[in-house]
Amino acid sequence: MSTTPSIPADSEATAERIAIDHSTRGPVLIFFISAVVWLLAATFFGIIDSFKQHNPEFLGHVSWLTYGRIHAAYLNALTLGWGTTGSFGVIIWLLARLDHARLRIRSVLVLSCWLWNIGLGLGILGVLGGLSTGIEFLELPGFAAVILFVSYSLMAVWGVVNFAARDVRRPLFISQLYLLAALFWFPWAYGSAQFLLHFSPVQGSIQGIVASWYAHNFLTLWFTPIGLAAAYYFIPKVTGKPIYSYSLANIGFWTFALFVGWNGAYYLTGGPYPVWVVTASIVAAVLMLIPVSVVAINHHMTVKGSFALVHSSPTLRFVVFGAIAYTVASVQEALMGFRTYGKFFDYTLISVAHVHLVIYGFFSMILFGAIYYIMPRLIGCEWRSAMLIRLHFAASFFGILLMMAVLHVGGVRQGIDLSDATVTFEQVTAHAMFCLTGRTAAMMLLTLANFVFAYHFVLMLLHLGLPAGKPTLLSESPAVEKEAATL
Amino acid sequence: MNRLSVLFVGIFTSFLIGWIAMVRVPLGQIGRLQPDVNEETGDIFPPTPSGLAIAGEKVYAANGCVYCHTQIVRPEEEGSDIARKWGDRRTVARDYIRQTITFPGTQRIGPDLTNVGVRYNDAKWQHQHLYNPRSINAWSRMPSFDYLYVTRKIVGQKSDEALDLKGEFAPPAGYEVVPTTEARELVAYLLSLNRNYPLKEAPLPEK
Amino acid sequence: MSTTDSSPTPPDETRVPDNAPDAPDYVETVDVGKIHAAIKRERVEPVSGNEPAPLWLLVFVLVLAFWSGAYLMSYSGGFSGLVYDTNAAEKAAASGPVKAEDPVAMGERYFKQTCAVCHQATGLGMPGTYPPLAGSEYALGDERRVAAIVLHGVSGPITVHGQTFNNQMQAWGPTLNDKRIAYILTYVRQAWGNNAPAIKPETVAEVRKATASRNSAWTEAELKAFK
Repeated sequence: MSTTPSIPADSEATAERIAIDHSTRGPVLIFFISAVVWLLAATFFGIIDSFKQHNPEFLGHVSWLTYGRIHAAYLNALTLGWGTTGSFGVIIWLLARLDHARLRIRSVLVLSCWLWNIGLGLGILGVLGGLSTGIEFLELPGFAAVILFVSYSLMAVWGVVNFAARDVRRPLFISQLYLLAALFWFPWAYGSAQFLLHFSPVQGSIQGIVASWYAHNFLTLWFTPIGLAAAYYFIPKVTGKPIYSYSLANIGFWTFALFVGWNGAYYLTGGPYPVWVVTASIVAAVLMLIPVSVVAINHHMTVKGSFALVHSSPTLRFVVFGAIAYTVASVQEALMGFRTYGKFFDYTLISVAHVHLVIYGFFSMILFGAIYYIMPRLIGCEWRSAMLIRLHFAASFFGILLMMAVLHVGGVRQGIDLSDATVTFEQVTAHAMFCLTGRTAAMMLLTLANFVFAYHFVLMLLHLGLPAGKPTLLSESPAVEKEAATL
Repeated sequence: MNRLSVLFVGIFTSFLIGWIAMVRVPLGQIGRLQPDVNEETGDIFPPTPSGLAIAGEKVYAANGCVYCHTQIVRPEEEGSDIARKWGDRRTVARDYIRQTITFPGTQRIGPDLTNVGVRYNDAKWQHQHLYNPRSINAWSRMPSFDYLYVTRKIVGQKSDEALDLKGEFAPPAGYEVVPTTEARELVAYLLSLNRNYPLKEAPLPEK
Repeated sequence: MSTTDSSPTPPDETRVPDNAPDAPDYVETVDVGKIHAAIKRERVEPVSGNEPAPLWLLVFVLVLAFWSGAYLMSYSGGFSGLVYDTNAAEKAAASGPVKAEDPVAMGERYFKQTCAVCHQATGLGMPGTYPPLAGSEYALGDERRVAAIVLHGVSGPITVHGQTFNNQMQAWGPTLNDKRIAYILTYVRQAWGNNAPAIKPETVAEVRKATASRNSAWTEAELKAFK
């Protein structure tokens, strides 16, 4: 360590950062704005979706509002909309900083963003209009998929150009590895799944294997590396300490890269798939515990000693919550693979809970944390209200907790009920009712959280934040007083 | 090789291995299965679905049926599917080769549909259930797909296809509810869902 | 650390917008040092520390690797694409030898696939076109003769049950094997009120052998004189 942690970097480095951040401003903002708009759209679809689960007649007589279409719109607005455009924003900003290079070909990025929004918007309209492909996470009709692919290709061109322009004297930081891998893996997974399922469909139950491989990997090889890259950047950045161990970081990345592609078929136990495929996938899900525990240790040891900062820094609070959720979700995933588990709990609400833990608990929370960090640097003013951030966190925190609680209770009940053939389906349905209602309550909390966030975000965009200078902190304890000025 | 190319080769290869194992190899193994022709009986399984049933796959996809219904029957030792009479035997890859889109599903908010064409082998029942599930099971949480049906004035004789709706679900007097083409396709598809035949790798249990 | 706010503006900063090739029109109207406060107060870019990987990690990896190999081997199904059950071998052993077939039930299936087109599922044929099998003196008569009819077919006028038919019956010897013909005949001889003894596949094989040199259908006269 050449620099004492609590002292800001020297002026040359600061000047470089100002130049780089300035160059990212336009593209990152347009991606973030898109992300927030998609988040609100997803929230809107999500609450209808959740409500329909216990009130099937609610908005039930119009074709484009039927549950099966709203649910597809919800999933896509949440993942390809909020998650992915938000990711792009974080990727651009992080890579520019870590490459120590000002952003090149920015107009390509802006074009890419517009194309993505148009493709996704048309796609979701298509789904609502009855053009869904019926494959989970790949519902968008073919024309939309093509637009998204073109948009993504532009991103890739930018990625290569920008990476080539990086400052080669600097060593690569672990976040760069994750981001590069994600940028490279995502089109591979998306392209091959689209091709094998949609443009030249493979036969019969192979579709099931490809679809579940993709559905799982969409989360683990697109969202996960981006979330981890952001956590690897923001945790040391805010605490001012180096990442605990370089070798652990590398072990974590390479074991992740090696096992991630094998995942996805583990919840197919008992399905019409060769038994070895399922077995190999179960093994991979368990082996994923290696990178997960390594990352968890690395993050924990870095945060250790700075817990007061976790309490006061918005970024760190959201990111640390996300990192913990990642560990929990991954351990759950390893358990979910087992055949004894699957016999009872496959196809129950627990898998819904798991997906939401990954998307909301892990990924979205880290994305929120990143946005809380990046926005003041792009806009030039501070977040207006610590209270709004606290409210956002609390509503998200309890929303996620409540959702996990009700869906797990409901899922366990549903699994036990279903495994006993003497319990009729009527009883199964009746028993799940309570939890589905609880889920809507959780969705309402998340809706509140998302709207608070969006409102705060708009204030930032309108330069209605506090004047630049002192960071907006969640608590003013004496412990962080002296560090506050560096966050 | 410099460090960067090692990095790219590493990122590429590590993922390639998983992709080959989980996508390419299964594709090679069971990507071109043929129907099972029984030398003894001359039966060909799975049977070819009708054109209407194939068209119904699109309706099934468009309305998101897959989010609540699976089409998988697990073996006895891995769940209660057979005990629940969702099928007489487990399903295997060959069962799905006649479908252009497969819908294995991930949720059982509703019951499994692998053999729904056997359980409810009655187009009238299926239409009424789709039109409003609560007209048959008051407790059902399935959405009504009434937008796939048309309520029209009876001109001359009542249509053969008209749904037999009672009470609060009945159309006004002088009107009838008839299925649209989409509803007919969907019901043809549902009725074609039948895995009640033996395959070499999945024989029917002896009764 | 508020001193950073008033630190001199780095020389680099002011030339940024002009220098960037595709910089948007960006007019700094406020204090430049103030607007970049968030960036300026930041800490250093993250670096990695040098702690070694703990030893227990190695143990953890080895344990998981050992378990993985064992699990993979026990539930691999021989890596076959057609093994779907974890306990496929046990199941195959438990199912035991194949149950003896029921000739009448199998015969009915074959009959419906092959014969019912002409002779009808009712076995009554079509008056004036196809002879009936129910109560037919040929169907219920000599078992070698009826096998011979199926093997080589019939041509020209024939009287069955007092009615005369003039049509062609196809030779089924080339398409149907002995077992199948035997089952069909057994069914025919025991269905629709018929009541004649079953025919064994061996009998059909015998007739097939005896008439192997024949390459035309039977006529009524030949059948009357059969054997």
